[in-house]
Amino acid sequence: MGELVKIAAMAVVAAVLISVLNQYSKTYAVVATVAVCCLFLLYSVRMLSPLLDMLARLSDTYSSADFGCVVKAVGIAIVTQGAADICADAGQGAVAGRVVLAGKIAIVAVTLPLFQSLVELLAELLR
Amino acid sequence: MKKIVALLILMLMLAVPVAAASDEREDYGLPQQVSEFLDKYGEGAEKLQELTPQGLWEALLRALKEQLQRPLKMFYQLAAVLVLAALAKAMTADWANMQVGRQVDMAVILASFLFACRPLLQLLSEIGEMILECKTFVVSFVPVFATVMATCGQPAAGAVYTGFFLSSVVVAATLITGVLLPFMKIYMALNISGGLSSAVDLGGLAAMVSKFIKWGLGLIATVFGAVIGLQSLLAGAADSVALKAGKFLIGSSVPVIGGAVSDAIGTVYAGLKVVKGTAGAAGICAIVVLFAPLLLRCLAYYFSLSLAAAAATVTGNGKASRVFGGFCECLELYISILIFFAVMIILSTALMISLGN
Repeated sequence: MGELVKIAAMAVVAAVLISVLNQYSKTYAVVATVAVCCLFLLYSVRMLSPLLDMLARLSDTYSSADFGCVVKAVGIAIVTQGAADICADAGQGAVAGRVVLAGKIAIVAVTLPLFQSLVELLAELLR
Repeated sequence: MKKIVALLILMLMLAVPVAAASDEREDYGLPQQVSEFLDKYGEGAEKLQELTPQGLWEALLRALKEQLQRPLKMFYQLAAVLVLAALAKAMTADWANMQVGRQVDMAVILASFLFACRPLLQLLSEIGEMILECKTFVVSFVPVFATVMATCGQPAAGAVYTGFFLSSVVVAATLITGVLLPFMKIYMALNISGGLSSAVDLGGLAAMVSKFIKWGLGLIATVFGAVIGLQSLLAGAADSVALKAGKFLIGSSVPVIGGAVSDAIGTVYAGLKVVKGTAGAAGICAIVVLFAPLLLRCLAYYFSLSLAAAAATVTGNGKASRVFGGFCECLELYISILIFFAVMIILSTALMISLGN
């Protein structure tokens, strides 16, 4: 609970400072936004690692390719959406759209082994 | 002189003991799985009668834990994927409008299907192998049991058991492994493809295949029920008449002691029926040992997938929930086939044991 209050306070302070910086220099405001978002993301990942360990122990698939693909896909989605939101806030809608496209392609590339396994499974079913 | 030498040689030959080579442990013609079960949990067929109730309970618990391992592992894998997807949705402000949300949903569904489908496919091939092994066992058991029945004064029942019942088992096993099980694979494939594709709705086709499988199993069960009824009708009456006629003939044709001989025949047959009952019970136990572990595992998978379907609904994965529901239906068919095949053999054998008693 204490950590969450700290995060909320930091987010509010960062928002206020960025909006003040935005009045003087939009470029530096975007850089500050990116830095704050990365900090929060890293902090979230650090808080999430015990949960991921528990999930891995639960499924016993820590080294399994299938479970790893899903984890990578979720990670790519979160990072892509974050980057797209930052670009949209900075008024760069086109860049945001391309980031989303890159994220979608990356997710498809990461889940290709799952598609291959599924096709092999379907072929075995129909043999 | 020559005669003495020949006599000496003959005595020497007869004095040397000879025997065929044999293994130290007798398998009694049981399937390998049954022998392994007896060795693992019953310390061999010879010592099975020394097994206490507590020992039997512990053996059953051990067998149950062994069968639950793989279904539980599958459930944990599915739960992990679904919880991860739910976390990702919870961490994002607006998942429904998230531009990459659909791709992540697809990855979650793919992984879930693979975790669920691989064990089910392996289970299906194990069921097919087990039915064939059971067929082989029945083909060797039925003639032996029919011989025992003939010595118990039930030659007609033995002949009918060998004819009708054996043919039914072989035909049922061939139809199940050659027709129904391949259609189940088609059903699973349609289920998976329908779950992945939102453009084409394969639900109707999958339902049609499922209906065909149920219809086929129902038809086999109906035909078999008719065969069993016919079997008991033909066998019971013929043997009863033959036995009574034989006792009457002996009683009336043998002077002085005819009545006593006639009664003695009844006593001998009664004793032989104990042998028949034991042989039949051994066959039934072998079938139970063959089918019970697989049936337990099917039930465990069914409950795991039902729980996973509920978890998918709770975490907002409607597609995955529908496909898990389809897999549950598939498992219901597996269980139906197993129960039908086991009950078919057990009921027929029990009927033959009880006939003439």
